[in-house]
Amino acid sequence: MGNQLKFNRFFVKYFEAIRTLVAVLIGFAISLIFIYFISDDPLKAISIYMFKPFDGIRRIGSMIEYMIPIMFCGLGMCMMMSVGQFNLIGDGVNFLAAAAVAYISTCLIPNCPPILFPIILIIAGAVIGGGFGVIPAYLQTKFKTNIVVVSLMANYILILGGVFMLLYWMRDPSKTYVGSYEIPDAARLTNLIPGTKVSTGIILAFLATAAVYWFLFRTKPGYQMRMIGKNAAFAKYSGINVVKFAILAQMIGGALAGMGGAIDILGKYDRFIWLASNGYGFDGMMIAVIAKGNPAYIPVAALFLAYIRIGADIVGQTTDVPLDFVLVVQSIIVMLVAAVSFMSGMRQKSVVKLANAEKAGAVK
Amino acid sequence: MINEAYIIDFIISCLRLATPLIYCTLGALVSMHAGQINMAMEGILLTSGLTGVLVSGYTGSIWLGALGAFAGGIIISLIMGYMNIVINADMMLCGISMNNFASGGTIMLIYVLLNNKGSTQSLKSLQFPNWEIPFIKDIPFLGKILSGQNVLTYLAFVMAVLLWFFIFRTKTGLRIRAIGMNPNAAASVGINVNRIRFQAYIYSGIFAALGGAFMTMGYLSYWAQNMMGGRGFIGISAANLSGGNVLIGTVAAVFFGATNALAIVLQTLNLKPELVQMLPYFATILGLVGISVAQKKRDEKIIRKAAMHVRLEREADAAKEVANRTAN
Repeated sequence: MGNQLKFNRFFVKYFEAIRTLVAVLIGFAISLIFIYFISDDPLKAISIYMFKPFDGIRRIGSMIEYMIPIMFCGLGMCMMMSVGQFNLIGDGVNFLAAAAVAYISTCLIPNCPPILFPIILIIAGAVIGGGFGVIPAYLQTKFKTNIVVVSLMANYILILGGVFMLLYWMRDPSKTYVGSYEIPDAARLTNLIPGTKVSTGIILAFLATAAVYWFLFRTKPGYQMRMIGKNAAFAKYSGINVVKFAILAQMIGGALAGMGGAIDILGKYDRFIWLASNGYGFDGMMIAVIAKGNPAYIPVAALFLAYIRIGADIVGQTTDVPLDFVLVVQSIIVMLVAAVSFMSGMRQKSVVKLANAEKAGAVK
Repeated sequence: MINEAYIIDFIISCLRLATPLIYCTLGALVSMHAGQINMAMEGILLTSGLTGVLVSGYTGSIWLGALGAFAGGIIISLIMGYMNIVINADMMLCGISMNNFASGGTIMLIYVLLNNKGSTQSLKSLQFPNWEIPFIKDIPFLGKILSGQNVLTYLAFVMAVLLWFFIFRTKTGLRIRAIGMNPNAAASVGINVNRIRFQAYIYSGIFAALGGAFMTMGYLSYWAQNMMGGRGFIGISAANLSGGNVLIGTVAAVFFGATNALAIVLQTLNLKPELVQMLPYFATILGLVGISVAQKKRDEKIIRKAAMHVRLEREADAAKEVANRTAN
């Protein structure tokens, strides 16, 4: 009896975390089921999926590399979600900022002192991200347009813009594949782990996580933004300038996503070669949803996503399973986490049991 | 350069490109009237296009293919409905996830069935025929436009009329509008709100599935990964800016189709394709902004009229009072 009560108390207290964990585990189990049914040699494919990401420094490195841009996009999404908006511009500005940074470093100012250069470029990425991140936010507050539709349409435009820059402004004609000129060494971020492409970007990502957490939970504007997200009408009547802070939050969110693109390109690539979005924006949305919009949990969520993504990548390369099953798994996890009624019956039962026990205790 | 044949070609390509958008708009309109936003349009297009191609390819029957497309659309719609209605997940989040679900799931499906990751070109599937209308095709200019289109293009306009009739002239349509306006009031008079919501999702899935079927079994003859290019979202925008009016929604869809066609024409004029391809997306955003400005102006007008009315009434009352007083 005592033990069960303890469990109930624990369950109610940590309900949100348990629920998220269960959703993630269900998603992971579904991914295993997919592999099992698709692959001709399921056990081998599953073991590759589960364990190969930890096999060797290069693989672990590729997980960390993957974490860098999606952490930034996730933090950006946390900012958007803090004011209660699903501004999905992150995907587009991530792409465009990467393209613009590559263009600036290869064609506009190729000669610049080493340490200053990446700083200038990252700031440029942030400015581009912030500038474009504002557009859907502004249209939404000013004209009441559907922010999801506008930001998705804007994503198509931004990605086409990035591809345009690559093809007509900075394409290296001496290469047979489509790629920009080489990004100068002075612009690139320092490599941290030899044998991998892990750069100082991961440190910046953790710094950004701490900064966003501090901003949202320890400063006045951050509090005001979270208030807007929780209850915009209440925030308005408390005297908060809702329009200003909602737009500001989304500008910061866009800036973070733009920084992510800049840091990704400067840390990992020697040329800009993307011709289509690599989906960091949706990844960022997913980890922000798993983290419930709290920046403190972003690194954990990003690590999990990097793990299944890299696992799927290896599976896609070495076995007969297409890596796109991971998109399906990601979507299922997002929907389960977002589903308010998922497991709410269990919580209800626990609460009732606790209440009954307390009543019995009080009567006795 | 601009001659009759050129104009005819342009109008025909407008209609062809508008067809899937019209279907999406109609589908989005149904769910809009039910007070839901079916954000999964893009996913429904992809899924229904694929299931249609697969079924028609394996069975050799275009009708079964159409049924397959319906099934694909309805499945995605029902999952959407289940997530929104039964387990109360956020509508936007669900829709975005469903689209990703469809884009990954379709690739998985054709990999399992056809061992190909990119497209279904290896599978010989059927296409809906073009329809040559006997006498109309002989009319000089209009004949070439009105006749010889894909049957699904004709059906799109028929469906628009049917949808209008369904929403505004039938019992179920009335119920759909009722739960969209005020679900509690609708429930209080004995309407099963959740059942009607599910119905609306199913209809919305069927409409969008026709668009998907057109894309893979009319416009093209195969399915390719991520081939829809935001058409579902453009449809949702058209529905958004129609404000629930089927006619305006259809016109908006045709307009967006025209910007698509214009983009293709401009590409042949040696403009950079990447820039020109932005055109439909710009048009969508501008359309949403434009309609909101127009609505705001209309609202202001109504408010001003109402205010004037109140003022006139007050003045009349005051005059009456003065008259009463002088009479006394």
